[in-house]
Amino acid sequence: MAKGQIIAGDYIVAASVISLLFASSVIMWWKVNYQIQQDFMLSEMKAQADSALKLLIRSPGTPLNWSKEVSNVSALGLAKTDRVLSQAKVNAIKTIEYDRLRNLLGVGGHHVYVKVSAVGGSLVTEAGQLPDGQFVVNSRRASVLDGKPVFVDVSVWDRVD
Amino acid sequence: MDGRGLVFTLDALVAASLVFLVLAYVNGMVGENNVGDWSGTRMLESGYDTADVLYNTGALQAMNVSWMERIVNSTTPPNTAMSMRILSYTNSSGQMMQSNTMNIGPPVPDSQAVAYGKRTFLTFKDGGVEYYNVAEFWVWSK
Repeated sequence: MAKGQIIAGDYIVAASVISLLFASSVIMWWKVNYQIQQDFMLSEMKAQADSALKLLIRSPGTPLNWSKEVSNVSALGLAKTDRVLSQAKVNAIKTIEYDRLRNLLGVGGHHVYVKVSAVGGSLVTEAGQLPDGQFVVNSRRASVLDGKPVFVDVSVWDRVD
Repeated sequence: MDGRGLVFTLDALVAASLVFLVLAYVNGMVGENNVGDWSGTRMLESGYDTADVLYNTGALQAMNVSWMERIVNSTTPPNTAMSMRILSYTNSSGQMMQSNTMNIGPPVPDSQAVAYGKRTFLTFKDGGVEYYNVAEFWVWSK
């Protein structure tokens, strides 16, 4: 075999390896980049869910008696006192218009679903839209309603095309 | 065989292997999703929630172990465990004397990170304070 042909053969093998490497790097870079963006979005959604939940179970909202006139509410909270929920506010949250609820809970452009349930699982109240997307984060905390322990769940969710 | 060509190919293969290793490592690191991890702060928050639920339902003041255990078991997140110790003191002429100790939940592990918090509360009898209580709790990942 001629010397030139051997060099050309080696060159083709090396070029194939480099091309494969380049293609793999591009694919992995795209994948890593996508993963970082996704993790960032999920972290942001988790922080929003935690913060909304904290607001709901620990704050009475503004004005204090907002459940009497839901249209006046400027800050949302379900608490009568710290971690003790008010039945009137728990009932009133489901009457808040959805976009307003999202703004009051500070979830930005994402969707939100709020659920109050008994420890056994029976539903007490719910507000917002049930999660229907590939990105869903949920936060749950225990609280008290009418002298009994309940769970308050906040789900922040989104679908990204 | 031409030595120059062989060295060129070997170099490319070694370089490719190294870059692949680095990319695979980076990919593995990024793939680890940390959202939802139970950090110490969240465990502590969950402990305070449960302690407040115990207090606000009256289970803590009743010092009823089975009632307290039921609440602790039902409100503690499934991926965590919680243990509680209640120390009760009486006021004897300005001197706080420990009178009772009550333990709830499994023993606290000593080989892993544990979140610790406490809550104070009073119990009353005949219109006066009977006990000055400290409820200490420990929360850890199962």
